[in-house]
Amino acid sequence: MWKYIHQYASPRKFYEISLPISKWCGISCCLFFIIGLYSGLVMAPADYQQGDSFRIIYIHVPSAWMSLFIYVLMAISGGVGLIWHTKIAEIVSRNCAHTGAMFTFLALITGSIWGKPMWGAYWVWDARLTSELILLFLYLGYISLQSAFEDRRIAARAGAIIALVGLINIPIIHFSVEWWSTLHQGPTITKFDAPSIDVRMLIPLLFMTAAFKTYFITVLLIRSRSEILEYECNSSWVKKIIEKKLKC
Amino acid sequence: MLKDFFYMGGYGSFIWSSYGIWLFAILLNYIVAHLKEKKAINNIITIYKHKKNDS
Repeated sequence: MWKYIHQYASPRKFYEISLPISKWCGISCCLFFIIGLYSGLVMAPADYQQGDSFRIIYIHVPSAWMSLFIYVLMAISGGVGLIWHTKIAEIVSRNCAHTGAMFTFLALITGSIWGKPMWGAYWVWDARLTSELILLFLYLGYISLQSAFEDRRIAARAGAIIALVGLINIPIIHFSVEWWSTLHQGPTITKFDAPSIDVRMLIPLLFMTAAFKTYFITVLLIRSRSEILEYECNSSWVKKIIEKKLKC
Repeated sequence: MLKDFFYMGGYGSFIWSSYGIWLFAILLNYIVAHLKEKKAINNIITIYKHKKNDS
């Protein structure tokens, strides 16, 4: 099994497989977005307390989940690159950062906009919000560190250390609503119990989560492909791709 | 009915501004990634053409 997985650590194999995967993920992403947005904005009933303002959940919650998921992926692939010096792991780690930072920013800004009608304030120094803001700083720090070094491999190693150290923030963000007394509501889905959200509101949320995941995979593969081409520009398989493009 | 949809029970400005920012961000992120790939390919084509001309 490891031999099967390991072959995709080759830049050429990864490049070849990323093309169809990103195409299908892109199509799935568009479909999931259409279904999720229609069912969330039109079909789902209004909340009995929050009215229609709850519909921000369909972009706020998936953004927050993705911000955590991408950070963990970034740290793990950075760690793999650090230990086994795998180029693909370093490339994946580096290219996770921008999209992860974007989702963290979106989680914060949509949460802030949602907070105004609900809490009466755009921002409070609540445990969940503060730890999510720290996550954004970690992402921005990682991105800045990648730009600070000319040698990409040294940058990748330094970034991996930062990412692994910052991993402690992920359980803090997740459990902050349980450990501290916060304004932010507690978990409704990611807990060891039945979800406390109505199924008519839950289904659009799941579709939007799937849409966000497939969007991330699409963008990650597009970004990684361009970096692989830059790394491998002198190899024969890249030359064949370029010759094919020139003929077209 | 369409008016009610955009009004969103009085929360329209909050909801649509959130969705607007979200849509702008994800489109921008995708376009930047796509342009980066295009730029990488064009750079390699340029290098390849120079090498071909030199040889």
